[in-house]
This record gives sequence, structure tokens and C-alpha cells, in this order.
Amino acid sequence: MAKKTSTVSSILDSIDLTAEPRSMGIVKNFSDGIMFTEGLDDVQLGELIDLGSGHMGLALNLETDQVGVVALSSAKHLQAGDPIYRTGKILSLPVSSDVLGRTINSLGEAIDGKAAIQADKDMPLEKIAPGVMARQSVSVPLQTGVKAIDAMIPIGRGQRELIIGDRATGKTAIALGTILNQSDQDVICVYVCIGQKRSSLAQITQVLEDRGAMEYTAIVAATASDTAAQQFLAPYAGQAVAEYFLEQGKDVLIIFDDLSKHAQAYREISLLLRRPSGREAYPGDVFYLHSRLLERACRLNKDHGGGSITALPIIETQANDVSAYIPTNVISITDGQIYLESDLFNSGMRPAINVGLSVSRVGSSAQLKCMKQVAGTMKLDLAQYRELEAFAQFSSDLDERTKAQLDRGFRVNEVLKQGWDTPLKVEEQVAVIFAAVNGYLDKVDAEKVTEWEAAYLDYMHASNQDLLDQIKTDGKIEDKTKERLDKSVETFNQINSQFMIEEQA
Amino acid sequence: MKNITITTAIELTSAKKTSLESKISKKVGSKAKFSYKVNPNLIGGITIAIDSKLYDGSVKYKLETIKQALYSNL
Repeated sequence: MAKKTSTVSSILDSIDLTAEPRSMGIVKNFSDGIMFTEGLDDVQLGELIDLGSGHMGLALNLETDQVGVVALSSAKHLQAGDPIYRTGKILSLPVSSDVLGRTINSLGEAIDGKAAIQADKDMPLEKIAPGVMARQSVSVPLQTGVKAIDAMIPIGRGQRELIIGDRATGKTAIALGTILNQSDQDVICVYVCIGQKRSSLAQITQVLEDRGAMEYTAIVAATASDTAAQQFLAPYAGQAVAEYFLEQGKDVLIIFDDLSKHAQAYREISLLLRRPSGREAYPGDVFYLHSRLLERACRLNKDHGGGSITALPIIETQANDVSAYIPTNVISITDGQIYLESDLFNSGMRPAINVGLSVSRVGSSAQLKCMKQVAGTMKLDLAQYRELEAFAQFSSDLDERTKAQLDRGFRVNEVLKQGWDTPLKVEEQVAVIFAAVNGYLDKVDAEKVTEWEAAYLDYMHASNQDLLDQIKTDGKIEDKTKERLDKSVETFNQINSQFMIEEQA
Repeated sequence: MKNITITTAIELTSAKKTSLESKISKKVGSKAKFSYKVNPNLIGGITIAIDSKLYDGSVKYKLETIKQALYSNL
């Protein structure tokens, strides 16, 4: 008790009660979360404003005779004529490694019911992206665990790859699967949830916890019932968290789910601030909104720590329209897109990736040699298959060569099907794709390819784990490894005749 | 020409007002327009707002400062 009293008295002694001048504004009107004030003469753009009772606002509109302040929380106590004060601080987030495994909001407050985040450093939400000379080109792969992506649309660490598609096509599923696959990749993950339902966020958190992914993941959430200002700030908050780890030289994966809702929140704020609106009622700077965010995802060179931030923004299209305003904006900013189609999804192709329209502008520079060796011709084979697909109905009237191409293409396509929560390691993907492109699946019953794949992988793990490890360590397929792979698949096919096409008697 | 608003918890006597005005005018240097408000929420003390700069010498503000210091350090 005596110790507590002396702590209290020492704190009391250190308090400075002199009246420092505070820059103040008087609220003229306050509606829909936006207030216009007079005063605040020397306020800075984007500065935090103290609204009283612990509430904060952001000064976003600096006009000659008034300042537009966006309230970051409800601030119901405010009335016309009330004073609000400058804080002198630009919006920043307290971050430390404590944030891993936690869910925070755009202001850095913990919203998962546990203790507050201990701050190691204040990271600014708005920051100028690293310059040209600080960067290095992307060459290290980011393994998503999804065969279709890692083989044909490979993503590298430091790249921005857009995941775009209609609702319920599996965009979030790909993002989550990628997070799950980073368990042994030494990559920190940040999942930014913008405008989603709280139930969805709860499900996602549960999945990540159950699979042990929360150890290396931080979640920044501004759900649908949070203010538009918080939804607007959430991606920048997530970026600030990612940059904390980037500065330590780590590799970070950040997922923005989704930027369409982010643009809508920004549109809401801009219209309430009476800023002029443009196409689809979005403000004129909606491109800059996303470009300044995504430019901060980069790979730094050795002099600057060698870390990287890989960004996977998600955009939801309406009726597969990729030529709408926001989708075209973000497509032109990112280094490629993964295009998901609802037709493919409904016909059973999951992940519903349209390999023809999807592209990765970093491409094979971010692919391991072993993957390049097997997947090199896959995209071409699939493109030829798609061209011939229309003729599949006439399969009895086609020549042998075309039939063979159709059969091969169908099986390669089947191999690309995958469960959203079953990411495959690189060596497993290489083994499966090797079998597919080298014709070992040609004799397998078309309907049983997925079963074949599961059984084959079990067989490889049971009998040839050292071969898989060899592929992983070498990073490429040596001649000896290729021989062993050939033998393993042949042996497997011989043992498991239940998957083979029944010979017509 | 500065707008100066003086807010107190209780009504000031005119003698007090005159002495305040002369002291503040000397400090500020330029001509000033004074207006007075009474806000019992301040509990005691005085706040002087010069244009949009506020000098908060109210008892309420001092108590708030103590409260913040104790909350953040204990």
C-alpha cells in the first residue's frame, strides 16, 4: 500500500498543469459522422482531432472558412457549438510483434476481447512508398499452395496480384488458403477485412485459429457496421502493420478483402464532405486511393533490409464486368490478376480460375526451377484444350490426335481442381503435375482423376518421401530424380488398377 | 482585430472584467473584441480563447489532466 501511494504521489508531482494553448474549433454542424467547424486555423491535413470523451476525428477537408472533420467513432456527445481540439498528431498505429494472433480495428484498438496491444513503434497510416532505388526485382516465390496459381500464374514476394471475380466464386477462399500455406514459409500474414459481415470475420478467425495460422497472422477489421471512416482507414492500418515487419527485413503477405467496399466507403465520405463526384459517383481521386496503398507493397533491396510485402487485393465484380470503374483501376495498378468465374465454379471447377484470362506479370522469375520444368507447357496445353472443347461432343468422329489432345487436356484440367483448405507443398504439386503432363494420367478414368491424385500423394509420402524431400532441397528435377519419378508413377499405376480405364472387352 | 472569448464558471464582476481586459490587451498587443460566457461545467478557473487558440485554465481541465496521467501510468 505504501508503495502504491508513493507511485501515485510521484505521478502527481510530475503532472504539468500549466495551460498550454490548444488550437480549438467550434462545431458548426454535425451530421452523418461529418462535422464542419470554424476555427482550427493551423490544422494539418489528415491530422487527428480530439472530439472530447475519448473520441477522435480526422481533418480531411481544409477550406478557407471551415474544416471538415470525419468522426472515427460515433461521438454522440457532440453538439453544435462544442469545442474540438487539434492533437498535433498525424494518424498512426501503435504496433509491436504482440499484434500477431490478434484482431485490431483501424485505430489499433484490440477488438478480440483480449488485452490492449503493447506498442513498440507508432507506424503512420499514410506514408510515401519506397523509392525506385530502394527496391529489388521480385525473384522469390510466394507459394499459395494452389496448383493452378503456383504452376501457371506464379506470385512472387513483393508482387501485387489482384483476385477478381463475382460474389461467391472463392476469392476469400484463395486468400485464406494462401495464409494457411505460409505456416512453414517464414512469412507474416496480415488479413484486412473491409466492410465484411461480422459473422464472416468470426468464421475466418475460427478457421485460422483451428489450423494454427493465427500465430503468424494479424487481422485488421472494419466490418460493415463500423463507420465509413474506419472502413476507409482499415487498408492503410493493415499496411502500417505490414510495414512494421517489413522494416525488420521480414516477408509479409497482406490481403485486402475487399477493395470494392473500401472504394464505396471512401465514396460515402467524399460525398458527405461535398467533394465533387465523377464516374459512378466516385470522387476524382479514387484511383490515388488505391494506387498509394498498393505501391507500398514492394521488395526492398539488401541495403534497406531485404524484406518484402506481397499484396493480394480482392475486388468483387458485378456480373463478371471487369471493365467497370474500380476493377479497371485496380487491374492497371497491380502486377497481374487471378480471374474467377462463376460459370466455372458452378460447373464444378474449383478453384474457379480462368487460366486464359488470368496473368502474372512477374511470371516465371518467381517460380522454382522444378515447377518451371513441369509446368512450362501446361498453359499452352490447356489453351489448346479449351479451343477444342467445343468438339468434345463429337469425340467419336475425331481423329486420334485430336482425341488424345482432348483427353490429355481434360485430365490436366481435373488435376487443377483442389479443395480450398488443402494447400499443397511445392514438391507435392511438382509430383502431381509431372504425372499429368507426361501422360501418366492418360490411362486413368477421367472421372477418377481427383481420387487418383489423393491416393498418389499418399503413396508418395509413404514410399517415396525422400524423393519429395530431394525435389524440395534441390529446387529442380535432376535426371536421377526424373527417373525415380517416372518409376514411382508407373509403379503406382500398376498397383492401383481401380483408377484405370476399364478395357473394352 | 482579435476575437477573445472568456469563459468562467461563475459570472465575473465588472471590475474583474475591466482588469482582465486591460491585462490581456497588453499581452496580445492588438485591438481585441471581448465576449463573456458562463459555463458551470468548468467548476472553477477561467478559459481564454484568442481567435481559435484556447488557453484552458479551468479546474475541469486540470482534473481531466490528472485523471489521464493516472490512467496511463498505473
